Amino acid sequence: MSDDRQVETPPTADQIIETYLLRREEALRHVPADTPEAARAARAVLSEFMRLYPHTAAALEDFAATESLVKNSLEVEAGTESEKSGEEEAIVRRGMETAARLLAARRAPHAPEASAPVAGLKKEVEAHGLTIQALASATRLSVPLLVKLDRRLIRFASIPRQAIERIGAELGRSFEAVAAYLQGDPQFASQASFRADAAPRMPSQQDFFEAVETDLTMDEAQKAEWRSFKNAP
Amino acid sequence: MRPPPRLPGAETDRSIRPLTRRAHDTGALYERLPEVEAQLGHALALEETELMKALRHDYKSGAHIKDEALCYLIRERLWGSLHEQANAFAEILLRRHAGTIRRRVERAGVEEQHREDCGGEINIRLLTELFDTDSDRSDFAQVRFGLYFEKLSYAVINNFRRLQRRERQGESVVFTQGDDAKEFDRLDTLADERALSAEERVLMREALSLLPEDLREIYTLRYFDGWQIEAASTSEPSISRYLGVTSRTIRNRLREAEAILKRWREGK
Repeated sequence: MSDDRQVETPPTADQIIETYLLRREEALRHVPADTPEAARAARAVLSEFMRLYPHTAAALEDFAATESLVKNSLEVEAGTESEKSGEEEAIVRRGMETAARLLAARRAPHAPEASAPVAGLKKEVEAHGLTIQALASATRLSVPLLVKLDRRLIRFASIPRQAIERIGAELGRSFEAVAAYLQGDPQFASQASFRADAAPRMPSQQDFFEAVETDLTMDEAQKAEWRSFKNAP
Repeated sequence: MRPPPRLPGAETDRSIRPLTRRAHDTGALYERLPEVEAQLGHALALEETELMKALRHDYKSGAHIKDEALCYLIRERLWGSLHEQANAFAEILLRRHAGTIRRRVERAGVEEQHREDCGGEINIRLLTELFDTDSDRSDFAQVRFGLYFEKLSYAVINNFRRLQRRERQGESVVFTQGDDAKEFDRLDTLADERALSAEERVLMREALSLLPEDLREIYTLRYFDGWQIEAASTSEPSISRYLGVTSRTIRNRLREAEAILKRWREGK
């Protein structure tokens, strides 16, 4: 007899674990928590799913073992409240960097053609319907520093790679395109006016990290973060 | 099944999109809790500033908007290309769970130098799935956010712990079998009948903190969860298979753990 059944794609470990969690929740609904009975009931559901879905047995074991370790461990009382708060803030900050990158990737299909050079950081920001403040927040730079970068008043060689990456991710532009822009000649402020009989003087370019240290709008945490990139590859 | 695409510039339809992911065993579509549906109906009718204010209510408040609803609101803003609002909602979600991530990573025994990376990776997975509006892989977050977040965070934590275990696997445990060990082995064979009672669990959790992380894990799986050291059947969870070490190694480590705990009991 020929087998003309369609071959089904096996479910992913994620799908199986989700279903396992729902069935376990049902099984434990009327069982007192944290008792041998609850452990037996949970183990029974785990075994059933390992039997039904052998290709995800290892993933189910992994999940159950890690869950057990976390739930049965007491919190280690190391660190002050301030240190814990600092760690949590760092977790949020890294999450927001991820959010910025993901949103930039979503905007990329609607962004100016990838091959077109960057016309200016402020112009790119406006083209994306953002504000310079939003770019500052997403990249952990400051508005004054972004303005200096936009006007190319920061010496390119001193700009850490991470700054260029973050700006590029937020604007949906490549590292190379942003770097090419930042290497251009310094610009006057658009509102600059000068006497006809005196040539304007372009301010000399500043070191990126010096600009960070003297930035009055950056808090210490931001400055510390940028300092950490100073000697990084 | 993917949610239907929305045309750019189309007037926003504030009706709630149904979930499209299914429970694999029954084939039934995932469903949001009635409370979540009700919260969404209310939230979608609010002006932006009112909604941001409503999202700030914490768990203790009766006006708290559940994480399940917040996940939908993030995706709803993404569908409408309202990126700044999606970003703001995502920050609220991250702030709600930063403490949970920190505690979970620490309790799981992730080494200190890797904890920030582990926490960062958890956030990457969470946001990548939530922001992927072309797929329904984060639908479960709108059904039971707590369980969804456990699934996601334990998967990341487990990757870090596997790396740590590989680094330690060269270590061997040498244990001289004495009378105490014989007694332990006898008790261990009765472990299934001698599972820790609810009261013993509470007491033992305090003692578990005395154990190094690798011993704690084995002890927890054996005496809290009743896992076998070595299972004949591949559909029974097995400590030796999970850790990739021999049953002899597991027994040696359990003896070592019991020796530490015995000193703790005698000291009490």
